[in-house]
Amino acid sequence: MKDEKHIRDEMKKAYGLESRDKDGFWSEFQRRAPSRDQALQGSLLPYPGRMQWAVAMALMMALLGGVFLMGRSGEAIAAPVVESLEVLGAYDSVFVIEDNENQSTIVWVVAHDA
Amino acid sequence: MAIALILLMGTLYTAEAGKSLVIRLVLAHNTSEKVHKGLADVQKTLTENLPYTGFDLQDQKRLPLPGGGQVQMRHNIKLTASGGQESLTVRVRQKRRPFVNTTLKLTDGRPVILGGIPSKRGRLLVVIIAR
Repeated sequence: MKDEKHIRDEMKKAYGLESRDKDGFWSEFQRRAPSRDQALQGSLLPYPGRMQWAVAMALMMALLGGVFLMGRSGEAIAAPVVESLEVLGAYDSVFVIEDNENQSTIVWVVAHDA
Repeated sequence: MAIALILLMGTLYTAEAGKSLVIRLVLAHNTSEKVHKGLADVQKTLTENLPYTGFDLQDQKRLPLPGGGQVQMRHNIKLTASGGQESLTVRVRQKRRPFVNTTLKLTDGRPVILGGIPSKRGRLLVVIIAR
C-alpha cells in the first residue's frame, strides 16, 4: 500500500504540483483576489451600459403605454354615428345633434302635429 | 415582459367591447326641473341640448349585442334592434305607428338619443347605449 508521501510525490511528478504551506496559500490567494474581482466585474455590463438598457426598457414601456392610452382616448372621443335615418310618418323637421362635449348623438324628430 | 404587457393591453381592449344594448325610455317635460337619478350618465346631454327641464325614466330594457331583438316598453313603445355595435339597425314604433328606422354605429358607453315622440305630458325619447 502506498503511503501519503509516495502519492504526493507521484502527483508532483504528474502535474507539477508543489505543496505549499498555509501562509503561502493565503499570500497567493490575496495576490490573485483583485484580478478575480476585476474579471467578475468585466463579465457584467459597465454602469453606463446598464443605464442604457434601463432607459431603453423604460422608453419602450412608455411608448406602449402611450399607444394604449391613445387608442383608448380615440375610442372615447368617437361619438356614435348615425349612418342612415328614415323618419316614418308626418314630420316638420329632423335634427341630428352631435354633442362632442358629452360624446353623444341626438336624433330629434319634430312631428307634424306637435 | 413587453409581451406580457401587450397581452394585457389586448385583454383590456377585448374587455371594452360592448356586450349588451341598454335601452331607456324617457319622458321629457317642462313641469319640473327634476332629472331621474337613473339618467345621471346622460343628464348633461339631455339638459344642454333639449328644450325641456324635467326628464323622467319611464322604462329600461336590455338586449344582447351583437344580435339584438325586440322590446316592448311603456307608452306602447316597441323597439327592434338587429346587428352589432358597428352597424346596428334600430326601429322604433309607437302602437302600430312607425317612428324611425335608423342604422347606428355605437361607441361603448356613448348614448344615442332618438326622440320627439309626442306624449300627453311632453315628448318621449329613447336612450340607447352599448355596454
